[in-house]
Amino acid sequence: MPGRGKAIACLMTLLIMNCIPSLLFLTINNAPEQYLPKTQPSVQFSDELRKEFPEDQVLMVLFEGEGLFSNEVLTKLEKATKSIKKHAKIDRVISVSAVDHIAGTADGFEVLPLMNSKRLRQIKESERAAYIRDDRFALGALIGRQDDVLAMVVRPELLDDTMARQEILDFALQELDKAGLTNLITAVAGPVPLETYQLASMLRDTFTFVPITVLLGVVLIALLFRRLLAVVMTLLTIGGVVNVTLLWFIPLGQPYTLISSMIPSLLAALTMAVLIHFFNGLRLASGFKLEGKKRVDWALAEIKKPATYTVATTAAGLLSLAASEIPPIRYFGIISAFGVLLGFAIVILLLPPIFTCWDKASWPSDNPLMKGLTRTVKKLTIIAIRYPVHVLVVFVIGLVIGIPQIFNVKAETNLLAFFADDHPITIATKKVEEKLTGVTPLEIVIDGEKRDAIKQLESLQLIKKIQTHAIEMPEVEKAQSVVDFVEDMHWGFHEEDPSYRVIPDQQNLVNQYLLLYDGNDLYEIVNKEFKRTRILLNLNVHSSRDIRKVVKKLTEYLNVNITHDLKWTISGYGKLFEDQEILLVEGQVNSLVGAVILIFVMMFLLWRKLSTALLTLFLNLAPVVVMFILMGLFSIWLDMATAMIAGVIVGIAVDDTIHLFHGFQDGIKHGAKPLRALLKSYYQSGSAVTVTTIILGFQFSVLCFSLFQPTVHFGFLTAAGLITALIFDLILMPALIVMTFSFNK
Amino acid sequence: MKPTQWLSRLFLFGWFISLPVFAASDAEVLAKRVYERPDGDDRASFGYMVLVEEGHKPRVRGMFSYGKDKSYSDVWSLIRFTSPKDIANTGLLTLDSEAKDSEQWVYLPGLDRVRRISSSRKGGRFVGSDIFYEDLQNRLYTKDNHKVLGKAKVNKLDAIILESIPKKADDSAYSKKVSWIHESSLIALKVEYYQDGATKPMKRLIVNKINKTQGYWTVLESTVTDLDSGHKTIMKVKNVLYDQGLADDMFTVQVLEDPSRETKYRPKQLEQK
Repeated sequence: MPGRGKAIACLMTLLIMNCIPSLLFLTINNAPEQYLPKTQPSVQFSDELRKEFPEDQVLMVLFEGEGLFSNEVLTKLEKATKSIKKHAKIDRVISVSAVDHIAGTADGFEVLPLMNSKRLRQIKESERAAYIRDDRFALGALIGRQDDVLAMVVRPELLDDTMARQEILDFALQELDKAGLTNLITAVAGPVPLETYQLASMLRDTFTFVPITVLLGVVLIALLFRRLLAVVMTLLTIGGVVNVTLLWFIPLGQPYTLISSMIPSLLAALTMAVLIHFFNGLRLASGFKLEGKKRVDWALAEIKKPATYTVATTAAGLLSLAASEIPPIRYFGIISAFGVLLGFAIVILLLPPIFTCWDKASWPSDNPLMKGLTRTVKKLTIIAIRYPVHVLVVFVIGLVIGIPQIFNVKAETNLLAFFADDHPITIATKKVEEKLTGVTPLEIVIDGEKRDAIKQLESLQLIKKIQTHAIEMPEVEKAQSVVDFVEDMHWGFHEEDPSYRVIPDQQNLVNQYLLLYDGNDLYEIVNKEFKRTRILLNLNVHSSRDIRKVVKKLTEYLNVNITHDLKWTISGYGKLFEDQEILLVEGQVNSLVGAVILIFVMMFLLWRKLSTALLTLFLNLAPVVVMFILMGLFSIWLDMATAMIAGVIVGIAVDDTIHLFHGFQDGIKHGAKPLRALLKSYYQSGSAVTVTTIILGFQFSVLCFSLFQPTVHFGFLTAAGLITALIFDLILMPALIVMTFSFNK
Repeated sequence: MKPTQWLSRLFLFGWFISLPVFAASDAEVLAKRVYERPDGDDRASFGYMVLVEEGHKPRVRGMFSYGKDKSYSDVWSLIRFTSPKDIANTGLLTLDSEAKDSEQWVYLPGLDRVRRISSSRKGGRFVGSDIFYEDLQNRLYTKDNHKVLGKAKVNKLDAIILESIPKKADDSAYSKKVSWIHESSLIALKVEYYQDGATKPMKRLIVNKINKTQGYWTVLESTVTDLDSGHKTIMKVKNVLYDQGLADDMFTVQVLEDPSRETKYRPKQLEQK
């Protein structure tokens, strides 16, 4: 039987699509480097900088407790420092036993580790804390101001892979455990653990919320349609769509990031929306006593055109995100748009033979839930038709009250704010900042024109001036520069006389000090050519907005003060983070404009009438406005996680409008009077779009139970946007139709 | 002489000549031979230290270098920079002895003062080069455990591969050294240096040019490469003189801080050209 063969082939195809465990093949990587394009000037500068200087994204471990400066603890720390350093992906481990200390004695001078086993023998336990604190490089970095904490900084090689950073974190903690220091660790902070926690959160959300949202949708489908085949096909279709879509990350060479982790939930919901329309068509056809192929053909005919347009508009909305310069957002748009089309293709091509072959029984039509929904929709439509002006006035008042909230929306990303206040990384970061120094790195890079430009007295004095200015800023907790080394050498060569902790006034002496400096730390701050140097800043702020303020203040200062042959650039993790924010806002605007244009073109092609196209477009921009109002109201920032929501909402929200308006136009085309056509469309499709939105709304609302703020915001805003779009479609659209169409025809 | 006396003497003689075989392995014998390689009672040279970083013009420093073997394990050396101008007369004096740790002093003309450098700073980079202070010191072969790893050719010359691991981990900047010893000259043609028990070397010395001067094998050019950064230090010897009878008082702090007292010891043949 050819029909049966086709059905089996379709079923097999669906099963195969489900058998691909796509996540196993993906590169899971949420490293910050993923969020900026390689063509970005700051990224290119940063890449160039890293060829000469080490990575600034580190892992900080804080130790507290009894006997911190005892032989036992310090020996264990030295041992752990050495064993952690052995890891191939670790560039350096900085602890009191492995940091250069410049010192002077009665007849000598030395650059030695600050507190290694040899020093332990030389300095009494009671004097060690003060000795370590007196080192200007260690204070605030390796020892707390109250002498109650010690720290270790683990610096990886230049890595752009979260899994590698996770490996480093695990290895460091394991070695510290072997050394017997675990009981003294009170905080693990810095960009490395922050990123690994993000990875853990996004994976946990993927494995928790995707099954929950699918299950929730399936339960609702079971309750609404009470058909086992519908439930099974829903599971197979969603599984196939998600698996095959995620595989696209591989040929596109893109990793699975925080942004892409939202694709499974989104696709599960959107595929379910198409399925509901198909099942609703089957239910209606079954009500007309149609069976087998006729029933499926009727259902397909009913949804094909509107579904094609809804899918196309959703894909267009998502595709508009391709305008973003942030790669994960761009590929989120491209890949999820493909997923939406794939879901539609499965529903249109693979499911019909299966339902033709195996869907024999009639679909229940006495569902009280559906009946209730239909009644509510009817009531709302009648109110809107009877009181269109009132509806419009309420809508306008609502917007007027809400719109000022939009100005409260801040474009701001704070990676720490992604986690709850009681999350270990939040607590650890606060502790490090309270006991030591800020953990956000920023650097001012100074370039001279010629070799040894940085050694010049004039340059050193200018660097000192900038460093002093920076440290006076409340956001800057620590500033280090090449000047510190020169001053310490001068001080060390003068028996540690404090009056010599200054830049010497002879050029030759500076040159000779720098010739003689025999450690490694200096070359982490100035290159061997002495042509480029960095002033390293530790900021106590984390949000892109606050970092931007610091960058702005520094820029103003540097513009005025660096006037001679030196050039300056602000770089580092903080700067990249700030740049990312600018791209995020630009991407949001571009994506929104792109989505609006694309959807307008589609609406115009669909309705062939400018006023209608504008009307439907307006109806679908309104939920985006509401979304921004909600963001302002609930202090949700425009950040990495929320940047793509406008595109998503515009794309999805337009579906209901198309279904309802298409029904209205179809009625008119078939000779019905406008009022009758409007009522018929709302009676027939209203309950379906309401059910779809309720299911999607539930699915996205479930994400609000995540412990990870980006997931919560994505779920809340998408659900709110969809429900708003439904309310506008059910109430505002009929009111506007009544006001703009001639109902006397 | 009684036969028993003969026999016992013969036994003792046999034991004595076989002692090195039983007491030391081939590797230790080789290490000892390398340590004792003839290089004169004293030596003086003029040469250049060239620092090479990819993409940049090399930095060239001129310097005189003097060395004297006071005894089997007591070795003295003095280095005096002559160029570039801003570091001219900067000097380093090193007195190595078996009895105590190396003693090192540095003289900075800008400060006009001599300061002692901590002897434990073995891993410190000498004047920003890839040469560590330990590389400038006389390290007794008995401080390491040695092992012959095999034979290989380096620049077409036959060499024995010798692995040396410090007996006490904290008395060396290196956790291991692997040297390719030229069989006839006993010069290490290539050395790979390991740190912190790593499996990959952190730097490599390659001898580019050797020559026999006054009957002593002399390294005329060598390159030390930092395998991590690619930074190179090339040491070039332009002129060398052995066995001039350098005075003991040349290797003193007084001479170090008074370059004029050292210049009188500079052989005319070595003068910078």
